Amino acid sequence: MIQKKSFGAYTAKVLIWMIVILMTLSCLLPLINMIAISLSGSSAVAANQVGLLPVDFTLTTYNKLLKDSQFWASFWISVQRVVLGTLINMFFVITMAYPLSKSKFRFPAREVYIKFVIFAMLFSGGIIPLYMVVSGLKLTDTIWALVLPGAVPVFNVILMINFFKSVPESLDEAARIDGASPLTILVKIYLPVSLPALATVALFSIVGHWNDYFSGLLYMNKASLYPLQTYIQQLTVDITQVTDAEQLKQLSQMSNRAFNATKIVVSTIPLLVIYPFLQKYFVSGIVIGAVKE
Amino acid sequence: MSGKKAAKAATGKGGSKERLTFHLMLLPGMIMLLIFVFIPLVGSLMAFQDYIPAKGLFGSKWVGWENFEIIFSFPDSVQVFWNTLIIAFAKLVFNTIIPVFFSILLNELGGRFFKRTFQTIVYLPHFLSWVVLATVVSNMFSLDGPINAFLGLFGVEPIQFLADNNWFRTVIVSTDVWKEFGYNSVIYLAALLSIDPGLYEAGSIDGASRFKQIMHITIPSLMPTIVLMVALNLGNILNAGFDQIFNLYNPIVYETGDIIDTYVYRIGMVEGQYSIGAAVGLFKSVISFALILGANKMAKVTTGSGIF
Amino acid sequence: MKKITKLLAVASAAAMLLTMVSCSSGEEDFTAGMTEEEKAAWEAAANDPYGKYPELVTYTTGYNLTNQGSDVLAGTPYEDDTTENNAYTRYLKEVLNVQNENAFEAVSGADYDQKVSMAIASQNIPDIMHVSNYETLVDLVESDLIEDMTEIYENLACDTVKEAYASYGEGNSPLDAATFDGKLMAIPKTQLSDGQDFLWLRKDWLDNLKLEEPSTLEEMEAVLKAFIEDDPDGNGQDDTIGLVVHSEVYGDYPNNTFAIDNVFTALGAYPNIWITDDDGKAVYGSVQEEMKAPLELLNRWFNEGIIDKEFATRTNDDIVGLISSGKCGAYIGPWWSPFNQAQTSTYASDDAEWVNVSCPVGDDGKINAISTKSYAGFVVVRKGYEHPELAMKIVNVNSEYSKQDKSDAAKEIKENQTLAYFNWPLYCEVQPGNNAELMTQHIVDVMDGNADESTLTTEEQSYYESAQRFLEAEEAGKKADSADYSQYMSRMVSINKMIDEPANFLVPSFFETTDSMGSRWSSLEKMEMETVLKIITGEKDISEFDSFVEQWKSAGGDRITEEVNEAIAE
Repeated sequence: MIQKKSFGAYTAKVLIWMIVILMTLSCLLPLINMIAISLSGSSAVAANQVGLLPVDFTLTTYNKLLKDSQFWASFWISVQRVVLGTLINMFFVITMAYPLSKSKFRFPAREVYIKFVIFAMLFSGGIIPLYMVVSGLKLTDTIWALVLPGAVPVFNVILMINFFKSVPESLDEAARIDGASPLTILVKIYLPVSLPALATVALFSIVGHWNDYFSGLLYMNKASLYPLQTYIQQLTVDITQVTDAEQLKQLSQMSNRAFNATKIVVSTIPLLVIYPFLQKYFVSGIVIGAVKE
Repeated sequence: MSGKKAAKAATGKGGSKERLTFHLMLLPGMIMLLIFVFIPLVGSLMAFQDYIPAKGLFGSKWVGWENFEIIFSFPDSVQVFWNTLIIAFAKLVFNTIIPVFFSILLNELGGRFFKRTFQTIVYLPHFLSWVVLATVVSNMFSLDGPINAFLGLFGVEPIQFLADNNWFRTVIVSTDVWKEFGYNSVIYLAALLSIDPGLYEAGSIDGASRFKQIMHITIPSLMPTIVLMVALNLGNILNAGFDQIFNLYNPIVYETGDIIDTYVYRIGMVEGQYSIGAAVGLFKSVISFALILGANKMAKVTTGSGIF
Repeated sequence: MKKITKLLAVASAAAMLLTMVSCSSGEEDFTAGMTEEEKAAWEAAANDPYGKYPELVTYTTGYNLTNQGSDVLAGTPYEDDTTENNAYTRYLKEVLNVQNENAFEAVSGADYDQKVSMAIASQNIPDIMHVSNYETLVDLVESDLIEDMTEIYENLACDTVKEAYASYGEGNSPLDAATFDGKLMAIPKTQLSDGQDFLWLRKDWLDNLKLEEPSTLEEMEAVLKAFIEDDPDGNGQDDTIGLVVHSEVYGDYPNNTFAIDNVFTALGAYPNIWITDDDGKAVYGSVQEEMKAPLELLNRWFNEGIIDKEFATRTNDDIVGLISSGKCGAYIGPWWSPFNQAQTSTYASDDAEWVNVSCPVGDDGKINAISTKSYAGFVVVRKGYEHPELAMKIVNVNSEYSKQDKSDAAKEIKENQTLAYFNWPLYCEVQPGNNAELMTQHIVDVMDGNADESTLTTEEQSYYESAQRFLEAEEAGKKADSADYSQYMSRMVSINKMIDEPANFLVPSFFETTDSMGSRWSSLEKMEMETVLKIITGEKDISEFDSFVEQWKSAGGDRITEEVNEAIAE
């Protein structure tokens, strides 16, 4: 009886490992392919000969990249943007989600606020009026244009509302009876138990800011001020669609797939580094049970 | 019940002070929304205009509902609308089931190192754009690609998946799920970690098998998060994934693969069609808003609390 | 306090959005307070095509960048150049004493166009800028936001520019497009004639199979068949495909490499453009009876594998991959095809030799080609700008002066053309339509010893040097640099063929859009492409072409055709 059960459990374990490894591999292969392309000679790349190992191994694209001063300038702008943007996002997520997570009995006005917030998530006036507001506030060509228009990440606010809602009310009440102010309760009780949720939402913000190329294109009137993804995006071009003589002259120097792959690889690395760092908080956040003790 | 209790606590001096704090906390955020969402919303009016940028919003001609009439008079509006709904709905379903499935499996694995490594790897494809992945996908599914080679082992005739209306949506949905499942599972993994370990302890003392624990403890604990994510993503039901479809479709599969966003993109290719774009945008927003409110009601009825 | 400032800012933004008054400032008189002498100096500068201003004139503009990435400048003397201080702007400063100040800059194409739209929408256009769409120009004219350039053009345009415009012929002058009610509202940028598409074939494959260069459709079919069946690469494997085809099949002639318009035109069909029918009326080429023959042919070719079975799903990278890996040795493309990686990579790694042939030809033995429109954009001047003539003068310098100038500054420009990171401010060069051919002829003259090297312009000189390097390398039995290969093959080989084997050119009767087109065209185009692809792949029978035409007409095609005819009549 006992043996049969452990045999079943053993098979299940093996099966789970196999599925997880297969799924993981399927995600890993295209990336390895990308890295292999970035390290291969351009002829081999054009001929689709590169699989998981580089063909005609070369570091030229990486050398070229390291010499591209704009790449690093844009990289630095993106780093600043992510830090500033995520801090701002987190500030608004916390300050908005906390009051809105309270019941309508405790905070009747929430019903009105929440409708506005949902409305703001789904409706947009399009890029022209938004551009006019941003340029009217003289924010174009400043980092604020990249972080302020999306300062309130409504989707994340709603996620956070729900996390806050799941915090046992007993904790809150006990503190209020002790005379703690709402802000103290937020900082001392809610935030510490919500670390996994905060880390998740922060991750969404970081990824969103890092990957967004469009606002850079829209609000930056100087190419030297582009964040990294905007810079990279405009370099990826279609070789076969030439429309004028000017472009023709540039054809001989067309950036090729190997170079683009290199840029993608290099720009993805920071996100690779950040994730395991945030994972730490996922684990240390399991304190809801512990607080009860 | 707790609501009543809270209401009692909220009455009196402490309560009004608390409410004031709440209003003040919300103020900065509401100002930001006012500036960057509500003021630009004036621009939606161009849906009712023949908008010309050089003339500005109030110099352009008002045309009433004409833009909407134009949208609905296209011979293929219905087809495009359905394609969008079907693809987006299938994505919604599988982008929920697979990440939940994967998170649970991953959670069952011992060994923190492996767990973390796997987690990090599967979240990577999210960062590759469809422009880049389109080549990978089209090679995978080409006549002499690995998928057809595999099917050939079972005597299946080669299929042009991306030029076959019976297969196109399946390929779109499955490749999207593949690309996003790792990233989508982040939130479920976080939710899994906040399950009280005490529950599992109690479970194993009672002698429940691991499988039973998953069915009776893990999944029910994930349910609120699942409901929340599904409801929130309902707001996206008219966004079936422009980047992906744009990079993978071709005229042969228009009838199953052309979606609202690709359609609007092609309209935009003819210069200066801001008004049509705005009209479609407004239409999508209204539908999404209705759906989200509906989902919230549903959630309230089924789980006892809404998502917002 | 901060909140109050913020609220004020919000209020002002809202007010701006709600009122949107056109803020065209009136003509500012910059000569106020000047002595007569100074006034005369300014006057003289303004009325001379190359007159240098007495003092530095700063103009705001939008700057077109290339998509190269600044790394192409790394390690060159131009490393620290910016869009406001580079070879071009320094040159203009030296010659005209003018300096650009960029209101915005972006890569030319969609990115730049978006910046222009935003500038126009916020009623804040720079002093001088390039706009690439005709529709945008129309909006600017109708909203009275730009200067009338008629007189300035008459007085200041240099001969090169005037002759260049004239070279496009009476009915197709770029100036016509920029003329509204008899007034010239912009300086049009010219679109060079891109010539005809060729069939590019692997010469080494032809030789292996002892085949002649094809010319008619039948001969083309025979060669393609041999390329599939007779193992042209001699590797003993059945691994080659016939003709690669762009997934869009036709359109944007001849810029769409891999598209096969020539197969249609050889049979008298002119898809995707407006043509004039026998009654002199404009009709849409894709819905004419003539379409049936090429569609039937392509359907048969598809079934027999003569065209790539998977063409509908191939991306451009896929197609380049097929050619680069030696699986395919035939495609249709324009004269600059040797720049495509499909050729450069086979040149570098294999012993591939490419040849361009005039094929498939029509009944008279010539390729039936389609003319491109004669303009590629417009330079406009903001209404009320005090030096409107500046736009014309910069175009003069760019199109004429700089090309004949042999100073060091002009050499810098030549070097920057090869580095290709910056463009001329205003992004407007006016050239005769057959400029590519003219340049090649000049170079050939020098190579044949009929002219001296010093007669070449700076641009021609760089092509000449490229060709020399290529020939030297070949002679030494080495592989030339792939950039030199591309330049030589395009400029010397394929343009020469354009000169030797001229094509019939059909000028489309209409290039722009009409009112109904804006909202309905994409729907009609979808219908068209769906039908064309399905007929070729055999999913639909050719008999369904007629019902497509009916549907096309009733879904707005007829109305648009009427509008097009009205627009032409105007």
